[in-house]
Amino acid sequence: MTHDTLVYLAKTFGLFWMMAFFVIVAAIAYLPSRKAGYERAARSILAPDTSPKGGPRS
Amino acid sequence: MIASLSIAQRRNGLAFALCLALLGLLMAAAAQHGPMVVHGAMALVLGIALTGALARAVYDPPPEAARASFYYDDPTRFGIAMTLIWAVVAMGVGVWVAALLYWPEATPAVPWTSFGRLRPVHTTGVIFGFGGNALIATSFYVLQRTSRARLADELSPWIVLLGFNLFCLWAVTGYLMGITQSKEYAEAEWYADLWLVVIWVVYFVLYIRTLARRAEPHIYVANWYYLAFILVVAILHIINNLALPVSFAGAKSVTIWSGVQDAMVQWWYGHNAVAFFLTAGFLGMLYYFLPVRSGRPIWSYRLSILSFWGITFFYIWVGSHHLHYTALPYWVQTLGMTFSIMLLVPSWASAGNAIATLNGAWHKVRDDATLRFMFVAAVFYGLSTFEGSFLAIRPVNSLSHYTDWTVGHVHSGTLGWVAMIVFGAIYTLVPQLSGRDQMAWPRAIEWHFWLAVTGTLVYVVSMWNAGITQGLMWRSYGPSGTLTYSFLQSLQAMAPYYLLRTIGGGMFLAGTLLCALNCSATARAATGEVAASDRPLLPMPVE
Repeated sequence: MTHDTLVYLAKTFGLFWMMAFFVIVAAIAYLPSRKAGYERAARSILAPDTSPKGGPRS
Repeated sequence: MIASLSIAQRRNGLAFALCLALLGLLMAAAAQHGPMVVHGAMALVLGIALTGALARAVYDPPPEAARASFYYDDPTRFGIAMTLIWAVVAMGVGVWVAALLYWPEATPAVPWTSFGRLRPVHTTGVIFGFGGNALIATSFYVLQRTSRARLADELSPWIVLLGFNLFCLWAVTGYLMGITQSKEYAEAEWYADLWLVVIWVVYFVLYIRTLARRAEPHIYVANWYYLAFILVVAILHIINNLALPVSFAGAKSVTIWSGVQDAMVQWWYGHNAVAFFLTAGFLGMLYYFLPVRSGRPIWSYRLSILSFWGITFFYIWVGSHHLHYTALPYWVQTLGMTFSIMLLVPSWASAGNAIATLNGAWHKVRDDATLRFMFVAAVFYGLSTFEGSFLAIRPVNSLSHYTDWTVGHVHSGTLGWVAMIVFGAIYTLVPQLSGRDQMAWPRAIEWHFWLAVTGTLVYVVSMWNAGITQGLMWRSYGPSGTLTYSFLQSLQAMAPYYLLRTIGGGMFLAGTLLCALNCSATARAATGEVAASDRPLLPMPVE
């Protein structure tokens, strides 16, 4: 493979591959239907049955 | 430790300990002389000690069946103790070599005390000894809490911790005896590298098996980061350390990579050691301990997913920015530079996410030094990733490379980000693991915090000044086109900065010492109580 071929591939396939990857990840993260699950996950570590005894006093 | 193992695990452990002793004996016998004998003897002694302890306990009563309804935290306690021991030793060596740069005549006339041998003891001791033990210890803790499941078995965490610490010990004692692969952050010789691969596979398998037992449907994002750390470090370690031993009976080996390929593989490894050892795993720590300590869920869980994939996919390309203006093809340098700049987006997304999480809890940040450690860690994470992207730009790099600016940048990451988040995690964990409401000496946390922050700032600011001064002196030309300053003059100009650096490092070390003493006092005052809420959700039979 020559340098020019590699640059051509990077500028075509590489670019679209990265963009497609970004779109897929953004969709997985931001689909409205997945919102509730993520919010639940974010709170899962704070549920009273896992909060540490040594938590901050406020 | 042994009392918590089942009878079958004690027998298996006994077999492993015997194998370790035999391996040590074989290494020592095959090598006959040189550092490999010492390393073989170390493995032999550890193997015999473990064999003795396990053999005595084989017929002791088995552990209570009720243990399955608790998390298994003994490995985490041991891991934190090792974290603090390595921290004190390796940061102590760091301060000593910093002092040697200011007082080079203080080097004793003994080979093992030379700067070249002590410097990798500092870097390996801090990165692997301090950082690695902290990652392993907290990963076991976080994995169990976020999965609401007990570790999959009781034996493999000990194999991981003892095996990993044997690797660290082999590495640093090897440097003192004068053996090195001459690869930055991968100086340990071939047999130590092979040993680490075995340990790492056990670690990965344990992590996956425990995740498979989880009682939570969703795998919390901290686990993604810990897993990225485990998986990618294995890949990096194996590829960078591919080497042919000159003899199986000696420590010397020759890397299979040559010339500029070797340089590229080394810095692909080197920068991803920063990415996946010193960033991904510690982000896992941040995403668990910061929400738990502040009592607030992460500001945007979805952003944490987006930045996870951004960080994993961008970081892997950036290593070539260490090789600007070298024999490496120009386009590879440009590629590394471009990805380094893009990397700022997911990095700042993570730092911003952490800081936004604290919105509404600023009174806690003010009152609670532990949470303040984590806040400062997030700020320094943001600062040092910005600086990293900036330094990767080719013309900026022409000023900064080979100067102490790089050293300052690394320490703003390791002291300001990595160590601060570790201390935040330790001060959250240790009281809980001791069944107490708080550390034995709460005031000492405040002292530690201010020593650490001041020490970091003194260190980093003095190195910025040192680096920019060096860079500018090296590129000053007189009217006739000759260099204005000799290299020696640029070195003499460093004296005040090197002194300040030693003082800053000393302050940071003092804080670490305080932390170790505080943790030891807290552990000695442990009540042994476990909060009724801190239990696995579904007790499962132990394998």
